[in-house]
Parts: sequence; structure tokens; C-alpha cells
Amino acid sequence: MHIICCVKQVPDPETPASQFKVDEATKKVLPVPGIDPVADEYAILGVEAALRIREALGEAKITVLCLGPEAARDAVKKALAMGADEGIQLTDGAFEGGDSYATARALAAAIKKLEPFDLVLCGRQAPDWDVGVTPSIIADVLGLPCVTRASEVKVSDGTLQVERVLLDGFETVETSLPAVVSVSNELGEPRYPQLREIMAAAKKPVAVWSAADLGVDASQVGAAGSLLSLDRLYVPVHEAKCEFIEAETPEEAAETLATTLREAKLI
Amino acid sequence: MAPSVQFPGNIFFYLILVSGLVFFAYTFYVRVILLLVGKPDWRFDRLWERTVSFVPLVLAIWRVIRPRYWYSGILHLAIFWGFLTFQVNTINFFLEGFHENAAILSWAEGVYTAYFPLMQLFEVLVLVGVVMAVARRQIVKPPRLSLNWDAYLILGFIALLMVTDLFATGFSIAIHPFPDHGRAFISNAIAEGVEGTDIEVLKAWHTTFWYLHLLTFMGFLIWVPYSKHLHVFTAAPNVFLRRLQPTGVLQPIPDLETQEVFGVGRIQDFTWRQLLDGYTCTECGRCQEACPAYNTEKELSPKEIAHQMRQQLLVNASDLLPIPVLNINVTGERGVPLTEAMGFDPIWDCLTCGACQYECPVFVEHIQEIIDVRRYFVMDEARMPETAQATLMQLEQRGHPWRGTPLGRTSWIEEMGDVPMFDGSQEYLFWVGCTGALSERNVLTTKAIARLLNQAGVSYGVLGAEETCCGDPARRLGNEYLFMLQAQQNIELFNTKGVKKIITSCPHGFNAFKNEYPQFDGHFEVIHHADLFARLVKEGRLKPQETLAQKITYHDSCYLGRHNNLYEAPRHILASLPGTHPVEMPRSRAQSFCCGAGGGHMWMEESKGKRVNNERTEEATATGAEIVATACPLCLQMFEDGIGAVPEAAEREMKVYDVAELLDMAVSPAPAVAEEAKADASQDQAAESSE
Amino acid sequence: MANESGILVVAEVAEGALASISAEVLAAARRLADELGQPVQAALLGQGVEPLAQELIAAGADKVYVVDDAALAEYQSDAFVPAIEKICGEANPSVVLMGQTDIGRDLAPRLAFRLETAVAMDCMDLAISDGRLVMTRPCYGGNANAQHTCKTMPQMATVRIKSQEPLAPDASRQGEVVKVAAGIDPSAVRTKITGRRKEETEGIRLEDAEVIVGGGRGMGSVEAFQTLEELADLMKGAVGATRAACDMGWYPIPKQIGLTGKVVSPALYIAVAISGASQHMAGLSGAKNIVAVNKDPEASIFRYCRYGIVGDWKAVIPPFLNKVRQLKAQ
Ligand SMILES: Cc1cc2nc3c(=O)[nH]c(=O)nc-3n(C[C@H](O)[C@H](O)[C@H](O)COP(=O)(O)OP(=O)(O)OC[C@H]3O[C@@H](n4cnc5c(N)ncnc54)[C@H](O)[C@@H]3O)c2cc1C
Ligand SMILES: Cc1cc2nc3c(=O)[nH]c(=O)nc-3n(C[C@H](O)[C@H](O)[C@H](O)COP(=O)(O)OP(=O)(O)OC[C@H]3O[C@@H](n4cnc5c(N)ncnc54)[C@H](O)[C@@H]3O)c2cc1C
Ligand code: SF4
Ligand code: SF4
Repeated sequence: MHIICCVKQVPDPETPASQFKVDEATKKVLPVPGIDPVADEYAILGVEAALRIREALGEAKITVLCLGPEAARDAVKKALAMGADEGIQLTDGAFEGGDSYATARALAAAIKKLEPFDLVLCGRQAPDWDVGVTPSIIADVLGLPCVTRASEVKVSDGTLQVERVLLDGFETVETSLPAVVSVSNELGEPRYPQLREIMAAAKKPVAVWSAADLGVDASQVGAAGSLLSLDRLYVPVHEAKCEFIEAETPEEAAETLATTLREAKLI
Repeated sequence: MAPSVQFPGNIFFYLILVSGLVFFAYTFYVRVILLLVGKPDWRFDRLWERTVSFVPLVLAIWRVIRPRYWYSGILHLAIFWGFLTFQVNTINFFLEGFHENAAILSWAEGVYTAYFPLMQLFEVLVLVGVVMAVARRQIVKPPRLSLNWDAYLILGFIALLMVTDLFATGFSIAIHPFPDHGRAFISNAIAEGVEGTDIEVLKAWHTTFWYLHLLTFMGFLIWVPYSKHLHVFTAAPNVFLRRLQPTGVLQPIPDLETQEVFGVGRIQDFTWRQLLDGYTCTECGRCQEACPAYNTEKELSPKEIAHQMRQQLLVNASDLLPIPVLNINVTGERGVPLTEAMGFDPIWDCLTCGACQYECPVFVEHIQEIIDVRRYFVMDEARMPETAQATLMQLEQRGHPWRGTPLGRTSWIEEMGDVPMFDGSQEYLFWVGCTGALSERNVLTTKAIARLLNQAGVSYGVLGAEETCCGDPARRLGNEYLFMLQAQQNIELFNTKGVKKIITSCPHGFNAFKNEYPQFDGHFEVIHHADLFARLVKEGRLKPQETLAQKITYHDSCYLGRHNNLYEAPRHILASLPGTHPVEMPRSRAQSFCCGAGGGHMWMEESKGKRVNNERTEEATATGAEIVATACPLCLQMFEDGIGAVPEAAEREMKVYDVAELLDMAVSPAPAVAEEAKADASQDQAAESSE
Repeated sequence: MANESGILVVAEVAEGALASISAEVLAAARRLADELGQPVQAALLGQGVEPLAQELIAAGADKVYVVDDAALAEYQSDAFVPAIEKICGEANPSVVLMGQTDIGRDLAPRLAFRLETAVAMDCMDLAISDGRLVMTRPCYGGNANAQHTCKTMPQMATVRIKSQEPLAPDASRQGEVVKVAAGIDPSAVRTKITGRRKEETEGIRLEDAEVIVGGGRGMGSVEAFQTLEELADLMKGAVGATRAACDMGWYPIPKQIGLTGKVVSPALYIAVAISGASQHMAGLSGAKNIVAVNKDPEASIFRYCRYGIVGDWKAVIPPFLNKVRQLKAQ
């Protein structure tokens, strides 16, 4: 069994809002001093799902795949410390500035190169762009079935059983392997790595592949391969202060509040 | 004349003596080599200090006779010194058994004059002690004691030793009065009581008591190693070989990378000196009585931790040693994996407050032992309470334990302006700490400290965004590896920046920098803000003028007080505030009761029993104080929470402040208010952009 | 394919009726179509759904393509994607819109791939500029907004639930209904749904809830929390509590929000009788809008608030609940 986990590195989603800043000219989020990027928590749950499958089957090779700059190594290391076997980093100027399509195409090319594989695990959405389309596109590029937002992933007798999260419950889906699955937070908490694994992770191999290594055309990936264009990135402004609802009676205040919230489309 | 000297008595004498001694020697030998299955632990430094302190700590059993435990103190003094003196008698007894001329008493007749009154007096003292002990177990029944038959057995042995000796001597006087026999005042009375009895009957009685004494002695010797009274042998070495560092210090794991097991997961992973703690614990329960976890219905009892150390070592002895071992199991406990014997919950309940270690008369080192097992849980098994895991992950990923904080490290600096950055030219680095920078309430303290430093013209600078965690929470939560990385990183940063002296506002950082960083070759002069400000007030560089006119009680932080002996400086600051009226809580200074935040518990959910901070807040409320003063950001948080939860405190609107905040109010009242308003405004901004 | 025209809305059917999101997306489509001078088309897929076509017209569609097929009884992307692809082939739209729902999230990217175009997910706002669709979506956990345009045709977006106001249904509107044969190849459906269960737990998980009503120590009793539950149910939200309230036994500990509890990110958090201690707020750093009711005007919760009422919750919450009920009924 060979499982490939796609793990992305993202700016810390818990960056205090007061520190979060965007450079509108370059349409980029400014790094905050003292706050390092982290591994995408949903993708890390994908690694957790892979480890659980390995525990259930007794055997599986887990490869971590990450597209990002050199510094994204930390995200790969985190997955390796949890118990994954090897890491592949896709690092190349050509990959930069891509949208989800260009990124997915590059990831799919790398996955193809890693054949044979049985399962690709992703997070339900990366907590930076909150898009959540990469897994489906990887599946489509590779012509594989795709199940999104899994709360449980099991493999038995060569078929895949997935429990998916719906708004009002769960559904179970079965499909053949190989397949692509994206996991949701309902899967549970990722494990805390044992120190032995953390230290072993330092010795596990991490390969770095460029666009040329993947045999993809530079125009297919990165900014050049993008289908969506980002025209503006900005921090929305909000009213400065708490607006106290003043009224003669508490009833009136309550009713005004309800109408105000309704107008603000909050209820 | 001793009955053993004549045939066939001498055969019995030698038989009993030799078999008893051999049995004892073997058991004792087993106990000693069992210690050696433990890891190495160098405890022979500063020998002079150890020797000098031996007198009060061992000979005067100074720790046993604390005022609070005066009754035990008296009874132990009586038994300890009585028994010690009595050993002269024992020697005499055996010498007499070999040959009557060998006995001390036959060396010179004059010996009688001093020997008998002294001996008989101490024997009476021992008996008084035994009666006191029995009375306590029968009538008072303090909950801290384990009331099992082992104690009665030992007390019985001791009493019987005294009684048989008094009677044997008594009959001996009756048979053959020696010079000045009247001075053996008790035995003489016995002799007078049996006067006129047939000499053969007297001899038979004498022989009976003599052998009873012999058998009792041997029985005692054989039994002691199986009982908690092993401490009569091990207490002295245990005290002598105690750790001389402050109790707040945890030891590093040498060659962490190459360890087979991380932390203590099996009994043999403890060091030999830790195992000696197990032998030495007297099960007096004083640690338990002081333990904040135990006192708030958690599962932890430090006494049980010490007890399990001995128990698991002895129960597993035959697996640990290649030689046959006889097991006599007093409590009937069976061998289970160490982690199970210690228990997952108890190990996580510990606040590392050190109350146990302060109380323990024989210097058992609970904190290190508990954390060693925690280390195993965390690093080896990756098994820990959910909130501990979240804290550690947070620390690893973000370098601070305050998950979800709306603030950044430099938020307070941006709000306040006027804060110099450390560039090596200043005298002090002001280490703000995670809580001081990232928790809104504590930011107020941080600003007060900075204002006071400015006011007093202290040359200082801060690190701003370059600051990270000191590592204390990681270490107390059992992730030694993470602590090591943090410490090494900080030491490197301090060295490249040219840091020599550090001011800390958090006692946990204070303890880490001062006592623990030297383990990683980081040597800095560290001062806590309370200490510094007390000094500046004394020097007149800070002049408290504004009257606060409030009743204030000071809460001793464990890591400042008990672990680092800083009791007076914060009190000095409070005393210098015009018009204040300081009051003390019943448990204060070294006997202070933890606020509940230590050992990483600031960030852990406390799901069982009463909350420690509520217990402490109640105590503070009962003093009638209007203000609780602390010198620790975590204590401050705990009281903020406790005041809301304790109805009386909430009704009275009791307040909690850091001593620096109070001093700041008294020194420069106007800006303090202005700052708060400014803080409000900027927090509004923070809130605004978080929407 | 050139000369694309029209805005195609993929309608959603839930338990035999049109899902409310369909009318919301149609309303947006109508607005954009009017600006472009193009028609609004709707795609209606499912089994026995044809009668719903008229409702789509009433909600703003000019033309409805219906695919009525047993293979579409339950949502499966492998069946839905080719069906909609076929509709697109006939309609040749310039814009394709659908809701950011369970189905939309799954369907949109796969459809986009088939149509060789891209989709902007979870848009809050759609506008037309120079004849192109400008799609605005929140990202970075709501800290930032991104504006996208699509380089390829058709331009696709999914629309966030509740972000668009539906039009009042107009039964007199006229439109065309076109039936399309599905021609779904069952062997192309690679996934099989083997079971489905509704969440048994009381309501929505705190972590997923869009609206959370939080109660604190000022609530005073277990019964008081029932009022909050009533309010939360009404808004399809969940109830959370402070540690103080959980400690009192008024609400279960798993519902505690904060440093040592759950971390939540609702669009709306209504804090009732909560002081706003930093440990509680630590669980709310992802909350987009906070509203508080507290009798203490100095309570620090107000520093995080968008709207606040100073007053006793007992006097405020019941009329608030009634008003919300009334608004919902409209
Ligand atoms: C128009 C546009 C312009 C952009 N410009 C830039 C830019 O200039 N610079 C920039 O850095 N980003 C840019 N991005 C963001 C970039 O597209 C995404 O980081 C990337 O495409 C991943 O897609 P996602 O965030 O949608 O992932 P999602 O679809 O939300 O991710 C789901 C899962 O896919 C997997 N995954 C996603 N991305 C990766 C990855 N890189 N490596 C491994 N696994 C992954 C993970 O398992 C993840 O949990 C842009 C995005 C858009 C839409
Ligand atoms: C280590 C640690 C971890 C913690 N973790 C968490 C955590 O995860 N989550 C958490 O929530 N807390 C946590 N706390 C507790 C936190 O510090 C606060 O004590 C707690 O959040 C306070 O809850 P509260 O706001 O309900 O109560 P209070 O602070 O007592 O506030 C009650 C509020 O209700 C108002 N009020 C009273 N009556 C009425 C009325 N009739 N109408 C309107 N308003 C009224 C009052 O004005 C007051 O503002 C933690 C504390 C510690 C020390
Ligand atoms: S350190 Fe404190 S909490 Fe831990 S066992 Fe000792 S007394 Fe109890
Ligand atoms: S550890 Fe020390 S204080 Fe605790 S029971 Fe044993 S001897 Fe007494």
C-alpha cells in the first residue's frame, strides 16, 4: 500500500487579526515577525488518516508531497515526525504564484511520477486561501475517483470506505483504489509525535523536484498556468467601535438588535 | 550473668545471632544492590555543606519537629534519641552474650553510676514515644498516616525491646545484685517487686526475658527492611545525599538523543538516589497534607508516589536481580507496570509547587520523580491530557503557550511607545515573557514595569518580536526535548546580543534562566522585578507617594518563594506603599498554597475536584483583604478567575494586582490611568480588525 | 466554444423541494444578467424534479433545463458532472453559478475541470466590470478578501449561503422549460453511497456552527440555558458556554469555548452574560461578528463587539427571540 499525502505550508491561521497585514500592491500577505508559517492542519489530518490506515493494515508506505518554497521543509518534517516515511518537495520558481489549478496540476504530475500508489490524501481546504478544490482537480487530472471531506477513511480488500461529512450528518461512500480523498476536522486530533519519531524524521530523506523533474511545461504551472487571476487582495474594514443599541426599554433594544442583525445578513 | 554463656544456651545464642544476622545482611544486601539497578546520580559534591547540615537535619531531626507537627516531633525525638542511646545497651547486651567479662559494665565498676540512670531514662523516653505514637494512631488518626499493622508491629518491637531489657535487668538484679544497682531505677523496682521468689524461678524468668530481648532484637532487624521503617537506616544517607539546588530545578536528560527510554517508564529508569527516596519515605503523609492537588480532591498523593517507588522496586526485585530474593509484601500490592502504579492522572495532577518537598522530613524529591514519569508519557508514549497536548503543540508551533491570543509580542510596545530595544548597550535585558506580552490582563503589569524602569532610570531594553518562550511550560509538561531546544536557542540569542543581566517579571522564566539555563551553559545574572523594585525603593530611586489605603494580602508564588527563597522583597514593596495595611494568609511564605497554575496547569483543564485557585482565593478572601498582590503573571490570572468564582470575593469586588502595578499606582498615579484608557482604545482597534 | 451568453444557475433540490440556496443564487444571477443584458438559465437535476421548474422561473429564471433521471436521485459527482456538462453544451453560458453547499463544494471544481475553466469558491459578492464577472471571496479565515476574475469561459463561482437576498417569488413570470436526456453511463459512476445518517447529537457541532449563542455565569441556571438553546435552534446554530457556566453544571463541559475548550469560528457569536475573559476569547479569535448582552457597561466583552446591549439578559433575550422568530417567519 502506498499512500501519498499532500501537505501545504500556510501562514499561521492563528495570527492575531491585529497583526495580519496585506501588501495590496503585490497582493501578498506580509509575514509577521516572530510568527512562523505552519503546516496546513487539515492536510496534517490527512497524514493522521494515512497513519491510521497503516496501523489497521499493518503495512503501508507514506510519502509526503509539498509544493512550496524551500522553507516549506518544516511542514514536510512535521509530517515525517508523525510517522510518514519520505518527503518530496516541489520547489521551483515556475510553481510560484499559481492558483489552485496550476498547483493541482503540478501535484498531479508529481503523484504520477510516484506511481504505483493506491491513495492520495489531502486536507479539505488549505486554511490560507480556504478554497478546497485542489483534491478534486488532482483526481480529475489523474482520472481517479474523488471523495471530499472525509471523517473516516478505511481500506479493506482493496476497496476504500469513506465516511463523509454532510451539513446535517454523515454518509458512507465506497470506491475502488486508487482514489483521492480530502479529510475534514471531524476525523479527530492528529497524534502528538513521539520523540523517537521526531529524531528519526531528521534522518528521513526529502527529495526536491523542479518543474523539469516532473516533465511539466512551465506554462502549465505557477502563475502562467493559472486560470483565475487575483485582481485585488485587501483587509476588509469594519466599524471601529462596539455600537451600543440604545432604547427606551430592553424590549425595544432587543428588537432593534434583531432587525440590525437581519439587515447585516447575520441571521 | 547472661544465660547464653552456659551450655546449651550459647548454642541457641549463636544460632539465633548468626541466622538473624545472615538473614538481615542478605536482605540488606539485596536492598543495596537493588539501588544500583538505578541510573547514576552524582550526589557527592559540596561535602562540607552536607556535613555541616547533617547536624541539624539528621541529628536534631530539625525537619521532623516543625511547630505544626510538634506532637510527632516530640515522639520522634524521644524514640530517635532513646533508640540511638539504647544501642550502647545493645552492644553491651551482645558483648555480655559472648562472655560476661566482655561487657562494658565489667570494664570498670564506675560505669554503673552513669550508665544505668541514663539508659533507663532513655528507655522510658522510648516507651513514652511509643505510647504517644499508638495513642495518635488509635485516637487522633490523622488522615495523612497509613494506618496499617506494619506500624504497630514495629512499635511493638520497639516497646518489647525496652520492656524485655528492663525486666531482664530487673531479674538479674534480683538474682545477683551488682554495685549501685539502685541507680537502675526501673529495673531495681522490678527486682524489689519479685524479692523473695525462689532463685531458680528468678533465673528462669531472667533467661526468658533475656532470650525474648534477643529474639525481639533479631526480629526487629529482620523485619525493618521489609517495612516502611527502613527509614531508620536510610534517612541519614538520604538527607546527606539530597540535592543541594533549589527545589524548582529539574534535571536535564544527559545524551537525550541516544536514550533507550525517554524519562522513567520502568522502575530501573529512576536514579539510585531516587530509589533511595522510596526506601526512605516514612509514610508520614506530611507531603500529602500540604499538596494542593491532594487537597482539592485530585488523584495525586505525593506520599503514594514515594510509596510506589519502594513498592514497585521490591515487588519486581526478582526480575531486576540475578539472585534469589525473598518477598514479604506488607500491603499486598502486586507488580504492575510502573506507569500504572504511579497512575496517569496523578502524574498529570502535579503542579510542581514543591509544597511536598518543603514538608518532607527526609528530603524525598517528588517533583523530579513525577516529572520523570511525565517525560515518559510525553516523549516515549506521546500520551497526555488533551489540553497538555494542545499546549505543547502550541509551544512547538508558535513559541508561546497562549493559544488564540489577539496580541502580538510587540503589541504592548506599539501601544506604549517609549520602550527601548535591547542592543547590548544597556545594563539589563527586560524579559517580558509570553504571558506578560500576550495576555491582555498581564500587559497592564508589563507596562507598569516598563514605566517604573523608565522612572527609576534603569538602563534596560527588550527583545520585542525576537522573544520566544523560556521553555518552562515545556519542561514541566514533560517535553524535555522541546525545553532543551528553547533553552539552547535563547542562550544563543542572549550571547549574540551581549546579554549579561536579565530582569524577569515571571517567576517561571526567572527560575529557568537562573537555575536551569546553567545546565546548558547559559550563565546570566537574573533578577525578578519584585527584587529590583524593592531595591530601587530602598535606594530612594522610586518614591511611592500616593495613598492606596487598602488592606492587602500577598500571595507567594511557588517559583519565587519556595523554589527561590524570595519572600521579603515583594512584602517590602507593599510595606513601602503609604497607607496600606498588609495582612498575611494562614498559609504563606514557604508554606504558601499554589495558585493552581504551576506545572503547566495554567493551560490545562482541571476537571476533577475543587479548583485550586478557588481554594486559594477563598483563603485570601477570608483575610478581609481588598487587594491580593502577587508577583507572578500566572498567579494573577488564577486570582482573576478565582475572584469571579468565589461569591464573597466577587461581591466585595476584591482585586488582584501585581506588586509592580501597585507600586506604579503609588509612584505615578496619573499616567497609570491614562495608560489604561489608551490600552482600552488600542484593544478596541484590535477588536475592530479581528471582526 | 465562443459567443457564450447567459447565466446558468445550478439549482439544488433537497428532500423533494428546492433548497433555499437556489433562490438566493438565482437572485444574484438575475441582477448580473440584467446588467449584462443576458438571460438567466437554470439547471434542475434529480428524480421527479420537473414540477419544481416553475418555481425556478418564479424565482428569476428565464429558461430551465431539466434532467430527470433515476441515476440523479442522490447526489454523486460522477453522475451530476456529465449531466450538467451536457446542459452547458446546449446553453453555452458565460457564467455558471451554484451554492457553496455540500453539493456545490464537490461539484463545482469537477465541473470546472470538465469545462476547462476555473471556479472561485465561496463568493460573498459578485459584480460585473467591463463585461467580466468580478468575484469577491473571503480568505485567510476571514482576515482578507480576494477579488478574482476568470481568464477562461465560462466564468464560474459558488455563492456563500445567506450572502444573497432572494427575490420575492413572482408566480406570474414566464419562462421556458427544456428537457434534456441524461444519458448517464452508470459505469462511469465510480463511487457508491452505502449509507447515510443524520447527526444524532443535539444539533450542530460548535466547530461548524455559523451562529453560536454563548452563555456565561450571569445566566444563573440550567433553565436559562434552555432559552439560549431555543434561540440557537431558531437560527440553526449551536449553544456554547464559558468555563464558569460549565463549572456550575449549567451546560456540558464539551460545549465550553475557550483556551481549554473548543475553538470556534462562527459568523455570529451572541455572548449572553459573559464578561469576556481572555481565556474565553481565545476560543473566539475566528469569530467574525460578536454581539453581547451584559448588564455591566464596562465588561471587556464589549471591546470585541460589533453590537452590544447593556442590560439584564432576562429582559433582553426573550423579546429578541420573539423578534427573530417573527423575522424568520417573514
Ligand atoms: C488567483 C489566485 C492567485 C494566487 N496567487 C498566489 C501567489 O501569488 N502566491 C502563492 O503562494 N499563492 C497564491 N495563490 C494560492 C495558491 O493557489 C494556493 O496556495 C494553492 O493553489 C493551493 O490551493 P488551495 O489553497 O486552494 O488549496 P485547497 O484546495 O484549499 O487545499 C486542499 C488540500 O490540497 C492540498 N494542497 C493544496 N496546496 C498544496 C500544496 N501547495 N502542496 C501540497 N498540498 C497542497 C492540501 O492537502 C490541502 O489541504 C493564489 C490563489 C489564487 C486563487
Ligand atoms: C487555566 C484557565 C483556563 C481557562 N479556560 C477557559 C476556557 O477555556 N473557557 C472559558 O470560558 N473560560 C476559561 N477560563 C475562565 C476564565 O478566566 C473566566 O473566569 C471565565 O471565562 C468567566 O466566565 P463568565 O464570563 O461566564 O463569568 P464572569 O466573568 O463571572 O462574567 C459574568 C458576566 O455576566 C454579567 N451578568 C451577570 N448577570 C447578568 C444578567 N442578569 N444579565 C446580563 N449580564 C449579566 C456580569 O456583568 C459579568 O460580566 C479559564 C481560566 C483559567 C485560569
Ligand atoms: S509539587 Fe505540589 S502538587 Fe506536586 S506533588 Fe508536590 S505538593 Fe503536590
Ligand atoms: S515523602 Fe516525605 S513527607 Fe511524604 S510521606 Fe514520605 S517521608 Fe513523609
